[in-house]
Order: sequence, then structure tokens, then C-alpha cells
Amino acid sequence: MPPTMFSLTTSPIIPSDLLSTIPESCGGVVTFEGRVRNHHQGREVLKLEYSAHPVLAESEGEQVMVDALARFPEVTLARAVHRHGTHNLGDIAVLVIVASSHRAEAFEACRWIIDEIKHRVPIWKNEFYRDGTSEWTGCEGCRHAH
Amino acid sequence: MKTEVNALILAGGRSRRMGTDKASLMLEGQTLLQRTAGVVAPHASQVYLSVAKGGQRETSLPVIEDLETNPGPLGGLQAAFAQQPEKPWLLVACDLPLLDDMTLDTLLRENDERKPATAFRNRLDGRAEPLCAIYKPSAANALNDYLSRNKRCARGFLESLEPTLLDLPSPLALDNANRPEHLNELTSLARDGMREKTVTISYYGKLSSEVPATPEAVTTTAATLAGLYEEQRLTLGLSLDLDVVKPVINDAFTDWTTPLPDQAEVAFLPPFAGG
Repeated sequence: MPPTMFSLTTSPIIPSDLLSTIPESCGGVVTFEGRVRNHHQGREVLKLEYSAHPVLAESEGEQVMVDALARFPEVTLARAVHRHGTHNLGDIAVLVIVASSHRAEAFEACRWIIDEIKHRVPIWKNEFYRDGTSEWTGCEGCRHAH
Repeated sequence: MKTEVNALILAGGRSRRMGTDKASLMLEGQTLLQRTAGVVAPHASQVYLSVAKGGQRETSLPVIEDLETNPGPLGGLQAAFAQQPEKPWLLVACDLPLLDDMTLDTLLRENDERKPATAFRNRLDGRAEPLCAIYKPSAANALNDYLSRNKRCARGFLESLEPTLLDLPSPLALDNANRPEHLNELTSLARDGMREKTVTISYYGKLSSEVPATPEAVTTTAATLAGLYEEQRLTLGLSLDLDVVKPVINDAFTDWTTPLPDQAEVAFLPPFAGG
């Protein structure tokens, strides 16, 4: 059984933990961090709460990575971690790491993976605002992309 | 005694959700429009088809054109009263695949002459169903008034008439098929009957904030996931339509036409928002 390429966690994500596993054949490593920002559509955000479907988020996330390797055969290694639970401003919510011999496919695959994760993996975001309200946000504009 | 009525079948609007004209949707070798006209014909002195202003439709029925452009279903009724103000009108949508004789019989027999309208209660939320109802000439002035105030909601208008409300003799007769998934649900129910099942439902994301906190066992007669979601959407007042929600059975993605097994663990997933 191949190692898991996608995982869910409730702990803080530490990029260096994943970056220590890059093979020496790789000349290009692209890292994407999705972080909690302090604003959304003009409203001041205080924190986020992510929730996930416990089974499907892992299996669909893993499938995204399998699809990525099939689509970008030059990629040597691809990993992604998504955190759920409470996040404070600046926290990393998702991390994607792609390594390959050369940079071009690493950039391309990394972009593809984060877009696929957003579209396909059952994770939801509840934003809490300065004014005391909260709202489930994220995907109103891309309903037809599913 | 049965009331003598004209019938007006509504097929004027384009169906955004079906992605096609829902009147021409096929069911058991007939279009929904042909089927509806066939069910209604024995109960009415004359059956008319409501069409858009300047609209063309291939039909053997006499047509009544809307007076305005895109006025909604009430515009059809307004045009019918303008043409024959002395007659009661049976207003019927063409997207009721299980409409039957017993339903129309009951409506015409129980019609209370003193009230401006007679209608059925929706089987799920109990509110008046405007698109299989009798509207008396005494409703015509109220209708003109309602439309002149730029109101278009057929249910709102019917409720303003304080109609006689009846229970449906066949519970599914007025379930409408707005979407292919609902037509499939209704044809499954008609074929296999309404069988009781117990399922558990989990809601995620935005939907989780609109339902009671702990998932509980639900008793349902829905045949497919689409039927179950529609039932829950109406009874719980969920904010999302089926077209943006994904169904899951026993921790696997599935589609809306999947038959609902007894004891299933179902989840409804709103649009994803990870990253």
C-alpha cells in the first residue's frame, strides 16, 4: 500500500515536517500555504471553524493526489494536509507540497491540486466576524463548477 | 354536485431547472402536457392551454395568450378571466405527473360555491396549492388588483382569497416534477408504492446550522434520495436547493436518483469550501 498523500488533522500544520521528505532527485519544490486572513468581502474576520466529512474528506483528498500524479507524470512527490477545527488568523488551513526534477510541472501540479481540493473535498468553513455574526462561506460563486 | 368549469393548463413558462421545456418532458410515452390534458379533459367543459404572449406551441387545444409578457402563472388566469369572466376556472400546472381522476373529482365535488376558490393542502407543509385549484368569477377582480400591485406569487394570491382547503385523496397527486430527479422520484413511487423506511440523516456545513444538532432517525416514504431531500427541505425549511447539494449514502458519494434503502445512513453536503 502506497503512503498516504493526503491527510486531515486538527493540529497546527508545520511545513518543515513535510519538507524533510523531499528526495534528492528533485530540483524544484513548490509549496502552497492556504492561511486564515483577517477579512472577507469587506468584513473583519476574527477566526474560522473548518469542518469536514470524516470519511469522504480523506478518501476524496487522497483521490485528488492520485489523479494529480496521473495527470503530471513528471512529479516525483505530492503531499497535502488540511486542518479542521478552530483556526486563528494567520494559521495554515491547508498545505500542498509538490516536488519534481524541474520547476515547471511542480508549479503547475501544485496549482491544480489546491484547485481540486477546493472543488472536490467535502470541507466547510464557518467565518466569525468582529460584529459577532458568523457565516458559512466559500463556494457561492462556483456552484456550477461542481 | 360537481361544479362545471373550464380548465386552463399552464405550460407557458420555460423550465430553467429541467434545462428543457417541462411540458414536453416524456412520461410513459406521452409528454407531460398530453398526459395532463388527458386527465383533465373529462372533468371540464373545455380545456384551454395557457401560452405566453405571442408564444407558439404545437397543440390541438385552444389556447389563451397571456396579456402581458412573462406575467407568471397568475397572468394565465387573468387572461382566462378576461376571455370568459362568467365561468369558474380550474387552473392546472402541466408538471404534475401523478395527477389523477380522484383528485379532480374531489376538488369539483367539494367545491364550496360561496368561496372564491377551492384548493388542496400541500401534503408536506399544509399550505394551499395554487396550481390545481378552482378560481370563481368572484376572484377575478381580486386577481386584477393583486397583479396591478406587481405581485406575482400564485400561492400568496390563493391564500388571500381564504379558499376552501381540502385534504388530498391521493397524497402524491400534486407533487410536481420541477427537475428530472423529482420526475424519477415520482415515477418510482407510482411504480413501487409508498413504503416506509427509517434512515438517519447527517447535515454538513451551512445545512448543519439549519437542523437540530444531533442526527436522528427519520421515517420517510421517499423512494430516492431526491425525494428524501425534498421532503426534508420543505419540512425543515432548508435554504439550499438540490442542485447545489451532494448526496451521500453510507459514506460514499451517490446521485439523486439512487433508490433509498431502509436503514441507510444519509448525508447531505452543501457546496464545499475548503482551502
